Formats: sequence, structure tokens, C-alpha cells
Amino acid sequence: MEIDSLGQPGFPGPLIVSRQYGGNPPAPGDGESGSFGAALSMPRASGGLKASTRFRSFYKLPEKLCRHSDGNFLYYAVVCNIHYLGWAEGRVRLYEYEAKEILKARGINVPIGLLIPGHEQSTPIDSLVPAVAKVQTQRGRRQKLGGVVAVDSVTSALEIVQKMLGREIGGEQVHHVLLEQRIPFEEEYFLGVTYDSLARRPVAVFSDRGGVDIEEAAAFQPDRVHRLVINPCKKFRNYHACDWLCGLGFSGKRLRSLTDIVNRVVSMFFEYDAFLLEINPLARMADDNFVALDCHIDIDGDALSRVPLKHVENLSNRAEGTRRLTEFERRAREIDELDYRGVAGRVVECPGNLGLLIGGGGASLTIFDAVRDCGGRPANYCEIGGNPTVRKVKELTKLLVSQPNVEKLAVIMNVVSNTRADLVARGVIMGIREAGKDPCETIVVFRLPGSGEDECRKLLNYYGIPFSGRELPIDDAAALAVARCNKPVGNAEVSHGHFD
Amino acid sequence: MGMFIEISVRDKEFLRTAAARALVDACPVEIFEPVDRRVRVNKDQEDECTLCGRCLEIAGDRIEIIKHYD
Repeated sequence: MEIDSLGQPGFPGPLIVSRQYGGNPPAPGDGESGSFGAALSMPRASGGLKASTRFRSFYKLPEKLCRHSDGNFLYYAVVCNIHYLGWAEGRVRLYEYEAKEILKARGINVPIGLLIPGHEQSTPIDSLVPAVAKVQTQRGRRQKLGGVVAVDSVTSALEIVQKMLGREIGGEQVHHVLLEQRIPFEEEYFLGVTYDSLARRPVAVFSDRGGVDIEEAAAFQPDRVHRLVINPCKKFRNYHACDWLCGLGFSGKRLRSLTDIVNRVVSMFFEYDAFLLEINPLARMADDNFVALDCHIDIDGDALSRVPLKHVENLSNRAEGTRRLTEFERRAREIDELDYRGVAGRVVECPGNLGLLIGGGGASLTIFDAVRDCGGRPANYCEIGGNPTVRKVKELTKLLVSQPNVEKLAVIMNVVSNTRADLVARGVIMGIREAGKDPCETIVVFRLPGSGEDECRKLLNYYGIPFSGRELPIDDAAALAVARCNKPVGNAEVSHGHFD
Repeated sequence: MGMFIEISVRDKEFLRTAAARALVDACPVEIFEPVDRRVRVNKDQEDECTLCGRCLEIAGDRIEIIKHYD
């Protein structure tokens, strides 16, 4: 029986099944990528542990990303830092079926499966049952949300697939379902490669507690989670994997199979500029061969132009991780794309009332943190830098202060060198005025020492806005902004550069 | 006219000379643009002026940069 005769909710036209993959992989993978790709994509945290921790918790963003850094959140800072994640490009997560196609192409066994709907010639599914129907979403915990269902007959498979398509799971609409052959296996393992920001290196992680959340395994049975720090400047060799796995007690055919898989996975990690490559579970069958039953690959969004993923559709438009851009953030991104000069538009929306225009040498997370420390409620995380044009700053400021919940705006930056303070000031004032507000009443703090500082001071004084330079520490500027956010600001309260 | 900056050309005829063409290349923010056989000031760009003074080096006192906030 074929299922291309069926309709599907939310999708016009017949249901077409077809992309078939899995089964026996081709011959062992071709050449391995250079290690420098990894060095280039090494995480760079700009805000520090404290800032990024609070940033994450403030957003109530999942801790899933943090688990790959041994409990510190620098990795998350990388993910949250707009430069590297950003909400600009950041990390791009592949769907399971896309990740498995890559695994298969690199010689790692995956179950035979059908993607529904597909684009090619439909394929009978009789040979797949008993099977597993898996919704293709980018969020985790699909099984707990009912997104993974075992089916024992073609009829039940079709029913389940019909129910899954168009449904919303974890806030994400299901556009594809993967129907996969159910594989009988003996044991489940976890194998992943990610970055350890403490070690500042890639790290391979292996556990015999596969099939469950690795966080749980790490928390309750840390002795069963094993790590191998990888030197990105040296080619990863088979013997590296072999030594490691020998130490974990593997031998014979299992050792040979696993060594080969670890080597391939590490190669793929570098080749695809991945932030995360995780096979969970990696199932061992009775004949000691291994099959990747599930796979996640998160790729550095800034590397999309060079990774060999030309066949993957809409990659650059894909939302990062588990969070989608809000309309506000999307508009900010459009502003940033207005002009190649400078950065002004990498924004994350927050539920507070204090607009923030922050940045300067990676200080944005620190400033955001300082505002939170003082009890402030930021309306956004935002950063500018690289000497953006007046027009970009104007448009961004207009967007920030036009939010209904935004009452005040704080411009706090580290000492700038290439960004001109006076040009930023022009943009800020123009933006506020175009938003129909009074710059003097709206700006609570303007701390922007550095290039163009004198001109900036003159300009702000003309509009009755106090200018602050190096004499006002960032922490004090944040405290001042929060204090002034809840009371009127005007000429009478101007305190030039001193925290009152 | 820009909100903060205004480029005032005292000698309008200068903008018709070949020497004025150098303004187009010199200005880093495209305040000067060629139109037909002359150069004109793009009023939409005035506020982008970085105050680099390159135009003043070329045009001397035939051009003035007016800061409305100064």
C-alpha cells in the first residue's frame, strides 16, 4: 500500500511519500576536513559567565545548550551573542532526516526510512513495518510530547502519520514525518561532539546511557559519561578514538566499529562547522554493528556558505535552535541589513520597559547584566558597534522606543574606538524624534566615551541630554539608568557624568 | 537640510567646475553626487557627515560645514 493517495491536514494536494534513505551506507567516507575549520568556529564568549548565565535565566531559555559546557554557560553566551549566534545567523539546526542523510553519506548506518511528504517517487511502506513514526521538529523531547510513535502495521502507520502532519508539537508545526524501520538492538549509547568552552576545545562525549537525556546521565551517573578533549589543530586519527574507547572497556569488533564511527563523527563535526553533533541513541545490534537511531546536528550559521549542505532547503531562513525571531527582532534584523556598515539591529526582545542601546568591545552582555543587577527591566537586548551609519542607528532607535512598553532609553557603551560617538548620538536623537518622543525626556543615560566624544558632548548638551564619559563606570551608568527610568528626566536633573 | 549638519556651498559656480568632481570621490559618505555636468549636495546624506574635512581641503572656504548644534 502506498500513501500518496491520501490527503493531509494543512497540506494541499496528495500526500507524497518518497525520499528514501538509510540502509546500508556507501563506501567509507571521502577525505576528512581540515581541522582549521574548528579553530575558526571555536566559541568566543564576550560577556562572561555571570552575564550569560543571567541572560539565559532571564529569558527562561532552555538549559539544553548549557549541558555541553559542563555546567558553565559560556557556551550559551556564544549562542546568545548575536555576533556568533546571533540572532543574526547563529546556530542552524538540521532536521533529523537531514542529519541522517549526512550520516549515511559518511558511512554511518541509519535505519531505512521514508520522509512524508517527500518530493520524489513514492515508495511502498510495507517493508518498513514494524516502524517508528517521528515528527520532524527542531525541538527536543519529541517522545514525551507524543511525537514519536511505534506502529506495527501499514494501516496504523498511515493513521498516525495523518494525525501527526499539521499538528503542533511543542509550539512547532509538523511539516514532515519520518517513518523509519524499527531496529531491534541490544544496547543504546550516546555519542556526541561539541565544544567545551572551559577547555576551549571540541570535546567528544560518550556514554553507555544512550536513549535518555544526557543531562540526566551526567547529573546522576557522571561516571558513565566520558569525555575526550580534541585538539582542533591536529588531525583526529583513528588511534585517538581507539585509545579512548579501549579505556572505556571496548574490544574486538565493537571497538573497531565504534572507533570508525567516532572518527567519522569527529570529521563531520569539523567539516560541517558544527556546534553540536549528537547521535542518541547509537544502537548496538546483535551482530555488534551500530546504527544511529537519532541524530542532531547544529551548525554555525556563519559557516553556512561553506558547509556542504547545498541540498538542504531554506537553511539560512531557519530559526535557530528552539527559539524563533519575534516580529520586533525580525524588523531589527532588517535594519541591520540596510547597510553593510556597522552593526545596529542585532536585538533580542524582552518584556521590560527600559530600552537599551548597548555595546562596545563585547560589553553588551555585561551592561545588560548590570541593568538587571540594579533591578532594571530591559525591554531588549541589543548591541551596536563597528561604526554604524546615522541612518541605521536612527531606524534602530525608532524601533526600540516605538515599542508600547518602552518608556525610556539608555545608551550605554564601553569606550569606543572605531564607532563614532557623535554619529551614534545623531542617530539616537533623530530616531527618538521620529518616534514622536522628546529625546531629553526619553534618554535616561548616555554613556559613550571614545571616538567623537567631544562632538557628542556638544551635540547632547544642545538637546539638554547629559553626556557621560569614562568617569562614569558602566555599573553606575546602569544604576543611573534604572533609577531614572521611574522618574522624570529633564534639564533640571542633568548631572553631567556623575552618578547621583 | 540635515537636522544636525548642513553643507553650505558659498560659491555655487564651484560645483560646476571639474575640480568639484573630486568632492564626489573624497566624501566617504556620499554627500556629494554628480548630476549631469555638475556636483550637488545630497541633503538626505548631510547628517551622515563624519566631519572628516576632506571636502574643505578640496573646496577651501567655498564650502562650509554648519553644525546646527554648535
